[in-house]
Amino acid sequence: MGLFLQLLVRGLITGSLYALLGVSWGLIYNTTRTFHFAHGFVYAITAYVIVLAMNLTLPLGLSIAIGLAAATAAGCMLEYFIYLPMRRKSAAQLPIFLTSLGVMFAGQSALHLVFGPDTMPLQAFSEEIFIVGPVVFTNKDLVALIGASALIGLLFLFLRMTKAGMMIRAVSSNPEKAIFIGIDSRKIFILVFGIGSLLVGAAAFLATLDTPATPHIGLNAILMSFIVVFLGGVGSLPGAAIGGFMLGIVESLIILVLPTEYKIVVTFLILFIVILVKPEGLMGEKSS
Amino acid sequence: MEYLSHIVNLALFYVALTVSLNLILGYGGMASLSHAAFFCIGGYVSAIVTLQLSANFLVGVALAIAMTMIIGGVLAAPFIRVKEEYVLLFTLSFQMVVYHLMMSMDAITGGDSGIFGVPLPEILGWSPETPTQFLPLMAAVLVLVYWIAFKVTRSPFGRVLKGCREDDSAVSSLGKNVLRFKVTIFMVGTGVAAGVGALFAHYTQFINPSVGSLDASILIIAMVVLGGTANLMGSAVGAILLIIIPEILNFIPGASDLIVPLRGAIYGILLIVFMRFRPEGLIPEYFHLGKGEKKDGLTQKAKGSDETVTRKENSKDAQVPQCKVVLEVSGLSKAFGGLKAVDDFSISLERGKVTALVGPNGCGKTTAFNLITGFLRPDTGKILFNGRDITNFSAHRMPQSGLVRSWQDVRIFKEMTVLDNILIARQNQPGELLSQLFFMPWKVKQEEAQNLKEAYTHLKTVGLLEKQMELARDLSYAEQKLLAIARMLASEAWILLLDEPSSGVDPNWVDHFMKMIRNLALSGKTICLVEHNLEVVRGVSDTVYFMAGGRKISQGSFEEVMADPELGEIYFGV
Amino acid sequence: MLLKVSNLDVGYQEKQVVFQASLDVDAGEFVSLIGHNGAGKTTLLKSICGYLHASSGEVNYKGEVITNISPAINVRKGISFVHQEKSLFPKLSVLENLELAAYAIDKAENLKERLEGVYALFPILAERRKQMAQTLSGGQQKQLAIGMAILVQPDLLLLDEPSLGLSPNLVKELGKALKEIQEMGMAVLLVEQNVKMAIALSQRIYVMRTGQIILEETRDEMKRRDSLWDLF
Repeated sequence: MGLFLQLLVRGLITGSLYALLGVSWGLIYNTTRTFHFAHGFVYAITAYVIVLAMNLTLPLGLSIAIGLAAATAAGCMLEYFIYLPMRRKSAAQLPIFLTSLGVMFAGQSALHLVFGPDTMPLQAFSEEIFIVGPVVFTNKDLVALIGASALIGLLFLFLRMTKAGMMIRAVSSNPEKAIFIGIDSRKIFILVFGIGSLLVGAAAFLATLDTPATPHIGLNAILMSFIVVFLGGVGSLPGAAIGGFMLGIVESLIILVLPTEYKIVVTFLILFIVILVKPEGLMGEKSS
Repeated sequence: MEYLSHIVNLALFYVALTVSLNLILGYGGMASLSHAAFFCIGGYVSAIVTLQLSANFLVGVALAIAMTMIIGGVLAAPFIRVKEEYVLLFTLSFQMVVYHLMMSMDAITGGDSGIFGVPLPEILGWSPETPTQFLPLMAAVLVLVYWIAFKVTRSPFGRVLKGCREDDSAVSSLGKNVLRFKVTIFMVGTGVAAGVGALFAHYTQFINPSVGSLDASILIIAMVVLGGTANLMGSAVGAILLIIIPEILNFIPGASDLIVPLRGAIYGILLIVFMRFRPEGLIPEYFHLGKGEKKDGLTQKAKGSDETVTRKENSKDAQVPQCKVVLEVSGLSKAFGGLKAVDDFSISLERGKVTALVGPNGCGKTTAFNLITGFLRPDTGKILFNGRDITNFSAHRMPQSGLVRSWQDVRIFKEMTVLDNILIARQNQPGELLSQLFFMPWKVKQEEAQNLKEAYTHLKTVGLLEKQMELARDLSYAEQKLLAIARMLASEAWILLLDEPSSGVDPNWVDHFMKMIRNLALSGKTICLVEHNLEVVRGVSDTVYFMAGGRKISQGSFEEVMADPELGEIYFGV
Repeated sequence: MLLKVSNLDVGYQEKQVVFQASLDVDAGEFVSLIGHNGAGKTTLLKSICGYLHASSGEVNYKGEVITNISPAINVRKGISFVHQEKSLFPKLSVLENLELAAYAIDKAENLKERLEGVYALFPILAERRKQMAQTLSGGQQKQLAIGMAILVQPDLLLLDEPSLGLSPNLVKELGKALKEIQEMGMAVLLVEQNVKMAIALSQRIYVMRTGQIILEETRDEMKRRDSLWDLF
């Protein structure tokens, strides 16, 4: 029972990060239908920027701000300089995806070339350990869980309460009509890439508190992002959030019955089965 | 010297692998992100079989191919039905799962370090011990791979595949089972990859998961894209370039540590640059059309097409209609949710007659059309063709029984030549089956010659003979509509269902189309059309069915129907 | 003259759909465009507001050439468009749909009063304002779509087959609403399959067949015809 509780809490913590990854990518995918693989590169570069800024002995807050600014800028630039021109030439999904794949791999190789293959830990603040009954967790875990959940909540509030949020929802629910009522969808796309990248940057920071940065951290991040989105249902951000938490918990609890190496296999198996049984995902809508 | 031979071998391996992915990606239109995984599975299967059972390496390779093809088929069957992004999702997931399984199942795969001591290839006592000795074997394998790839793609099978890449429903409306073609090509591609992978394991006498990583899969995609999708020669160029460039880095002093990331950067940047600025790759698909060499070859053949064509019964299922009423539809109903789109609809089509469905928007004409052509399943009702019940036939079986439809938005295959657009429509071509393609090539050849002759007559009928080698996308819209009609004729169906034949056509062409429809009826075809331009309906139809609210309201000649004031009320609204 | 379209050619890729179409609409006038399905009416309407690219010809609005200018800009100049279907945001509430139409062009001043105006015309929308748009019935969705268009008080309203899929009763109600809209001072260019309704509402009627405008008549001339079948 103790182990179960411990794993459940672990699962919640990783789950919150998966959920944040999911909504950050889902926001972009639902609105722009761009299979933005380079999201993983934005993730990795943010982690590096924050670690480097800290190494320059900048204060934590400033380092985070620089990192998130870098993430936002990277996302917007990718949309403006790469995806937008391709969409204008009415490129199909596949070429856009392959380009994004190219950015991802060129990007992570560039990180490797410049900073070497070694891990770069983030010394943000000293670790404290809490013990509550049978459950052990650190202050870093707490920051990750609360930070990720709060950001997801803020995103939902933003989409619901602000004019910009309403326009984003409008563009993702009916792009053609949006143009007719006067919304400039190009601006909305850039906005969405900005917000999505900001969130994935935040996820990178929260994850790097615990796991050091390497050139390849982006790959796992993007994989989890879209697994969570397709699991939860394309078109549904709450689906992505719930999918993220669920996946985190299942992945954690699976250790009770299987060795850890099989974690990723189980993850993909869950995705396979869900998509086979319910192609629209857990909370997605059937497309007509 | 051995180093050089090794590099050449390596390049040839990747050429073969790239060609096999090009079959799936370029011709099948499926972006598989798991090609390296299949390559690696092939290697492991053969390594394990030869080591554990001390079987000959040929047995290992054969088993590797067979097993991988089965896995490929099982993987492909469900995802091909759904949308493009699911192909990415599924193959990427598969790639990750396989990689992690290879890493973690130590007992079988040797985990991270892999399997050592895989026996060398051995054929009749001969074993290539050095890369140089291996070179001729590798070259022979590559020739075999190319032979298979050419055979598969430049054949009726390949033609249908190219059609599927553009428009699934158009392909099924011509009587082809799309799923079969897509799954088959996926299996062929993975099978080749596995064979090459098995050979690779025997060549290096070692296999570990590193050759089956996601990076490796993406490398192969980069090779295909760089060379040019759906161009097999391009694949060779792409693969050789991407193998050689990083090898050159070896000679730069101090660079050796950076080779892996440099390679990654190069692949990534090449992908970006090519997709952004030259998505067709170094050698585009229709490279040869520009040079005009194939063009000449075929026009030569075309000259011989003036001889009279002996009509051959080409379809097993299709029977020459004997009775007057060729198609008898009775009591057809279909509801969507609570709404009855088609309600107890009956119609009979007579040989040599033109029947038109008329009615206000949303009256159920199009739904009725889709029900009759098998694109929708009726809730109730019966469809008899020539007395035979074809009610629950799926769309691709209709043309085989002699009933074919056209599309309002033409749906010709724009990236194919005019001639191929016609040839693809022929029913039950032996060349569409890989078994016949490989084991009875003479039969395929004979059939293809016959098909060509038939195709020329149909092209002549619609007046597109001179444009046969042009890509269909270069035709004017009216010509595309003509091509769509020729395509229906080539299917040799007896019943033609035309979906708005005049829509989108230049006013000057409308008369031409009306004449053509009349002529088709005169030649014995049975025609049913949905048409909104009443001018056209008046001009061509013998019988008019007036529909409203999913039901047939009235039936008669055009004048009779138009004279009924009640129908005017319905048509022009309240 | 509010809108003057001259010799417009419109097509998709290699396929030309509208040939040399010319028409005009006066301020406050109600004009209809009828013709068989696929005649090119919707295509013409969508190219007038700039959504589809016209390869030649000119669209002149209030003395300004607006050919091929995005609808996102034209809506700010006072041209509102109502789609045949999907003319709203299904996952937003009724109120959000309406508000968004105003926000998108920064026209939020006295929004309350204008909302009241829309509710007065379509009372059901006030009742359902918290509901998601996709849960509305077909007729209500149509009302919402028209409500979004008139909320921004356009000078020209382009309507693409609003009667499509509505029962005869609802079509009658729709006709009444359109009449009231014209009385508010907006000019209307209506594309309709429902010819009777179009004739009843309009001062002038254009007829299209296979991509060309073949006829222009006043309501009275149209009413004097024995049979309408010749026009289709």
